[in-house]
Formats: sequence, structure tokens, C-alpha cells
Amino acid sequence: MPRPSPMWSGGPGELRGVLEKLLAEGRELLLESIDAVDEAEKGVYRIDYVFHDLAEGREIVLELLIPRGQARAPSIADLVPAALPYEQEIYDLFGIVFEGNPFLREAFFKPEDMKGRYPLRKKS
Amino acid sequence: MDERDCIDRGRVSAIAQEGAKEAGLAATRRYALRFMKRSLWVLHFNTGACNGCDIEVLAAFAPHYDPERFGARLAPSPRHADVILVTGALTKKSAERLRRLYEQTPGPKYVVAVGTCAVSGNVFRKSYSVLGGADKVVPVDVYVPGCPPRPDVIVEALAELAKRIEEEARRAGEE
Repeated sequence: MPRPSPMWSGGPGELRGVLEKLLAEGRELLLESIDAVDEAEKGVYRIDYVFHDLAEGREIVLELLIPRGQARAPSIADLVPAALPYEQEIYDLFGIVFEGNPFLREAFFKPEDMKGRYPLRKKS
Repeated sequence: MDERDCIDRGRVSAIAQEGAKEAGLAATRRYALRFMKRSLWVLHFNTGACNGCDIEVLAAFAPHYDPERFGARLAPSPRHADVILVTGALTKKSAERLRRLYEQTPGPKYVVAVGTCAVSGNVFRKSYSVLGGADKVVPVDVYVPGCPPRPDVIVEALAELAKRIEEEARRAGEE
């Protein structure tokens, strides 16, 4: 199945506002996955937040683009607790810090000797 | 009860005590091996496999191949196991766990590496998270290559191990 075209695409400043608005509409959103891709040729990390909308029975994708030089994104774990493990995984493998997530720990997935190195980055 | 019976019983008891003193652990080991060859309890552990080998291992322990005809069955805990059956490339994270499982298994104990990944690390050998084959942290007795190996080969590996244990028990008896 191809990736559904994103409902929203933007920078880290707006993500929480967009999500809060969606949740305030009373939608039943289930977080399916958070995927990160290093689009090095465009100079960005792309993070896709994939939700399943129960009422409409379809996927909703929020596309967050953050510049490679500043690997920081807002955490959504307080709004959607299911985001915790995904944010942990992306932090470990891409080195993207999710601000506001108190549980981020390095070398949770990768081995101890990879501390400070991020295996899924195309170039560091 | 006549006199001779009493003497014989006393002699048997004396020999047994003497033997236990002299042979000690060696005798225990010999007995353990003699019984183990017909009763291999196998602990299956995945150190990072794609689950291909695990499916074949499960198939090998199902009634069609029936390794229980020579006493081999899956053990629920390392403390009940005689054999550790390892599948998958050894990742750095699981290496620690495999070593711990090996230490928790009472001896005499054996290790079987099932699948090319557990044998050598396969194509994942040079990955940042992989150490290589299972023999990087535990001594491997039988290697079963294949991606994945067929269930009959896994059963054959257990039979081969039982044969070696039988030989080892015989050697332990001669010493």
C-alpha cells in the first residue's frame, strides 16, 4: 500500500497545534506508527505520524520536516502516550531529540558502543 | 537372611562408597551423560533471527518429525535444559543474554547453532549491532547451516549430538 498523502506537512513549531486541533474535533485517532526517514539530499529528516481515524476508517498522516542541522522535534507523548516507544526508537537510531519526552534513553535499542553514533542517518 | 548375603551387601556398600569418593564428580557426569543421550531437553533461544529458522525448529519438534522418539523435547527453562539451540545472528545485545542463559544451564551442556546466521553471522556479520555467530560467546558443539535449514536436518543434528554424548559416556566409563 502506498503512503497516504499527508494531511499536513510542516515544521516543528506547528505540529502540536495541528494535532491538538485534530484531537479537539473529537476524532478517535489511534497512533499506528511514527516513521523517520533521513532525506539527506533535501537536507531534512522527515517524520511521518500515521494515525488511524476510527470513524472514517482511514489513515491520517502528519508529515513533520526538520532541518538536519537541528535535530529537535516536539514530543507528542503527553497528547498521545502511544508515541513514547516510537520517539525512543527514533531518538536512538536518528539522534532526533523529542523535547518534553522525559523517558528518552540512549543505547536502548542500539548497542552501548554505538553511543553518540546514529546508525540510520545517511551521513552525520 | 544368611551370612553370605550380609557379607555381600556390606561389600557392595563399601565398593559404592569407595567409588563415590574416588570417582566423585566423574561418576555423576558419567551417569548424567548415560541418561541424557536418550533424553535431550532443548532450550530454543533466538539471538536475532528473522524467525525463518524458528519456524523450522518448531516444525522439527512437531509430530511429523517427532524428535521425542529419541527423547528430545523443548525445555521450558535453561535450568531444565541439556542443550541450547541457538537461532539467528548474535547481536551485541543478545550476546550478553545468551552467555547468561548458558551459565544458568546445569552441566553437562551442549550448544547447537541452527541456521547460517547462528553459525557465522551470515550477511549480517559486519553490521554495527552484530557480533557474528553464536560461537563468539558460547562453545558450539553442532553447526547446522542453511537459510533456513530443513527440519529433518535439525533433527539429524540432535541425533548426532545424542551419538556424541553416548561416545562421551563410554569414554567417561573407561577412565
